[in-house]
Amino acid sequence: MHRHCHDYARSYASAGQGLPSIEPGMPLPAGTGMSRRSMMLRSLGLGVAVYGAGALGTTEHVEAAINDALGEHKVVISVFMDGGWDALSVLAPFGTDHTHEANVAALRPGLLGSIDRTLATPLAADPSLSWHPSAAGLRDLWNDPNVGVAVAPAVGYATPNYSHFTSRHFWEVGALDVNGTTGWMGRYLDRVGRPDVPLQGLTMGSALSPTLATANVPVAAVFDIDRYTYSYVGASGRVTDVATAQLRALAAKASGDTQRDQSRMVTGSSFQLVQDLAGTSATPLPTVAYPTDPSYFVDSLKDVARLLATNVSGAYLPVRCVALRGHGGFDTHSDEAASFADNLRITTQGIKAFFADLAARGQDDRVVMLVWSEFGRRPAENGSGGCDHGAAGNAFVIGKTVRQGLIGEFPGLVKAGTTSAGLMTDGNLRATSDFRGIYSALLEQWLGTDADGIIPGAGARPGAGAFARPQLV
Amino acid sequence: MTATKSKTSAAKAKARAKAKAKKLPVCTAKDLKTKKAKRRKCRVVTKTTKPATKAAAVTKTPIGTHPSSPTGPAAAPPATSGDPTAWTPLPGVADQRTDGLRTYTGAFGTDQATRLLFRAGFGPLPGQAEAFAALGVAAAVDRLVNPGPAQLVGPAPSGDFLVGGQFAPADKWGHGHLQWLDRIARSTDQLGERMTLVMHDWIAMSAEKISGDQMIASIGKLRNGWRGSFRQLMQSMTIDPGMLVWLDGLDSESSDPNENYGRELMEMFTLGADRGAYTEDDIRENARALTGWVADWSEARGLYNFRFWPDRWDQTVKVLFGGTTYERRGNFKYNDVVDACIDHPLHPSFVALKLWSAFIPTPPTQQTLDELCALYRSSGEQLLPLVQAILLHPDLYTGPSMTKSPVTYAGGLLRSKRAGIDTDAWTWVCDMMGQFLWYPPNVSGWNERAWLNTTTYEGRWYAAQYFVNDGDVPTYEGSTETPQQAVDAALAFWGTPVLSSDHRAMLLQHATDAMKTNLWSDAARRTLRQQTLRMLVVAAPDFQVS
Repeated sequence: MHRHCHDYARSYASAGQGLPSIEPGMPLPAGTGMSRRSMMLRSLGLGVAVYGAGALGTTEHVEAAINDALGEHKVVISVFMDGGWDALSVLAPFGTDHTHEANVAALRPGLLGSIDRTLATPLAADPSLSWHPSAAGLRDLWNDPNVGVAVAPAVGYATPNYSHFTSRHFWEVGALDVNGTTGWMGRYLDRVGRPDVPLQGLTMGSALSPTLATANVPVAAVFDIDRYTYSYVGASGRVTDVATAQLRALAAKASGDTQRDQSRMVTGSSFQLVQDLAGTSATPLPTVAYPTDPSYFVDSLKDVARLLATNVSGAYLPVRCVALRGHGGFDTHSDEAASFADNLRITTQGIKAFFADLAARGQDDRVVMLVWSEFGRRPAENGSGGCDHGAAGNAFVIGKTVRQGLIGEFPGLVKAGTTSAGLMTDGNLRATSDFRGIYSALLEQWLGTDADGIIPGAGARPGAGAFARPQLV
Repeated sequence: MTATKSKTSAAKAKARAKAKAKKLPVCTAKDLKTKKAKRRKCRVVTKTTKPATKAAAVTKTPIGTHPSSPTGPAAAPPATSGDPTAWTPLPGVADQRTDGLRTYTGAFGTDQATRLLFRAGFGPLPGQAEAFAALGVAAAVDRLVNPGPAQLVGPAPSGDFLVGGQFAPADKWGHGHLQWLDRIARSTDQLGERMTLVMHDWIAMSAEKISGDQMIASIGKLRNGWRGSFRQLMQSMTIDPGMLVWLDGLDSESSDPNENYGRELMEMFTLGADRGAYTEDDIRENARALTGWVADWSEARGLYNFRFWPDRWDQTVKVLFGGTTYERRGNFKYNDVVDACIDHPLHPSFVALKLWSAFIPTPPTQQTLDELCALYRSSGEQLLPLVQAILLHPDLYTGPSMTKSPVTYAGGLLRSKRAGIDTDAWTWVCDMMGQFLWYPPNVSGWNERAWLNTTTYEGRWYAAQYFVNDGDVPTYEGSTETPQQAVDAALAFWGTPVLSSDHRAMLLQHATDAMKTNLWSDAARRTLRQQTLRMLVVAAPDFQVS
């Protein structure tokens, strides 16, 4: 549970009455010794007292309102494993029950033989499965009493699409809709976000993640949080301030020309982002050890940890959703042994270090991470030392507050036609959980908002929507 | 312009400005060589050595014998035009011009000519929009379609990143991108470079996986092949060595076929996903037919001797599009499945929409689409007649703006300045803008609907800064330059481009407001005004679209 929330709730409950309100952004009253945070709590407390009784009412909502005002949002981080990672290798078949291993050996002797079984650790939650030696970062997080890991060993959807781009699109938009234009996190931001805070939805890198595509509110992409500036060569001071003001004024106008207006919105967001990121550079670099391999993914994890720890005058930066791409590509049609293990190791060791970093900074209870891929790969290997596109894959939900366990069972590789078949008639793994159920659970249980209206078909909470919600937090 | 140039005070202003400007560390060779480095954590180094005069550096190089020129079967000689002002429709086009493919008949001024040059090329050279406007739309399109033998005109590349004064795309990381950007900036065949880029985005291959030599050969096939039959081009690309490596056709054998190429041939290259054109069974049948390609390998040569080896080909009957009226059944091999995909009834609309969307952001009417499809079939699956019809279509000129792709933006700046490639920083700058040639993100190419975000905008800012950093500013001592004169001077710096009225108004407002700032002298205000105006011309949101 979110420890700070209780503290704030108590503060709210006991304080606030009779004190003067103070607007966010106002300077601290001199000599009071109060932090801006506590001043804001008081002001919010008054606000809630006035407006809250009927519409908000619950402690949960009050906490959320306070956290919003303080910028201390609950954060979801999406990590996309690009290309469709080989789920049957990530959770390799070296568990305590060897039946599954024999089934795997029959379908993919070469790929199985490339994994050093002596270094694979059984996954306690399922006797068939083990952690790939290069997924030791996830194994360590699983074993860490301060971090919860929920494992989806066969996640997907009932009517699998084997195109990278279509299946990835389904995951990104949170619906089996080829025409979807907004991402599932984007729709969350459209509901709770602000019209002037691009940092609320952040992609690290130069390509904005479609998971964050919004209909209304701005979102951001940044390559390097320490170097996001707009300087004018040869000019500085007031003249550049005036110039930037002109750009922002043009950006704020609407022309009715769609792509011109998108360009204007991005220009406005870019200059706003400079302000949103203010203070980040002063936040110390990590003290925990990250993988030393050259990796943009690892670099961006370090940046995100610093962003989340940045506190300016008592308020955290307004980050709500972050989208990252794991290290390397996982589209292993050929020679899987050449790239898969390294990419898996760097990604999972990076994630492990990230959670240690967050803990060292006291931010670990604000973050839940979802690691996913567009599909799993074909159980049967091909003749190129790889395997082709498949159906169900792996996903992991990680965080201090996450409830450890399985999301759906592992269906095994029993052939189609039997009652317990894990394989469908086309030889691909059957999904035992739906990704939209995971999204719904994250929205409802972690972010405290209804999945209904964000995930099509989710249905109202509580009650049985279309997708079973795993208990994640 | 009222002020005159004085080298000393210009240098002073520059030094003063530099001292104030926030700096990134200077790029090291290592930054620029390794793609693993955070390439943008450094700044472009201003070149201090320049040719004595621009004219002296201008060269004309025929590029017919360029090392990347293909000799593949799909290569076709570019058409030439005797009189560039003559409107000479391709055979079979004029008589088919109907309502759906009607020609734009409205005003064709510099606005329309600029848009045409940004959509079909990489923007105008100084004065080129005026010259094209004078031609009228039909002759302007004809000049793009029939450019004559391509030549590189303008300053040759320079800098110590070159190898013996040349690009080394086969060996040096980033040189494939730089060499292409040079052609984009300097080639007289602008549509040729544009269409090669369209093809690179469509038949996308990446040097992330294949060698520089393979990339040169593959891109060369696209560069020459797009003017011929698309059927021939796909036949050629299907067994192109780079493609065989890129999508794992190489060593796919009958016992365990690899599905990678079989899927993307249908999904990305010829039919498209989610249109009901094919099934998963078709992909598996495709993959079986595509088996049998092998190559040799040696330490010295890498992969070589790519060839079809019947023993490794699946010699059984395959069924494509089973249960449809266009079902095909037979002992197919690689060329047969390419033909089957090209013959598929949903193939022409895939091609027509692919090309249309490369030039026009709004969808065609059903009638226009139908007629483009008919034209495609009647021309023997040629792309050029479609491109010509689309470039003439009213929707291009009367419809909404389209975002310039990153290399269109970069190429446009280079062309507006008649500048050459004099730094390899164009690698990381374009990468940051989101388009690093030879490295599309995956087999689906770039996402052309999402060029702009807060990071790619930052990349465009860097690109603009490179030129402004390098530009001389008058002294303005005793100057009486008016705001409008300042705006005109800033526009002249960029070849006097066409701007939106909002954009022009914004520049004039800034030119007025800048003089009200609290600085030590009017001359200082005018200097800083000019430097900021130059940025505001090309970094403004309205300039990112055309």
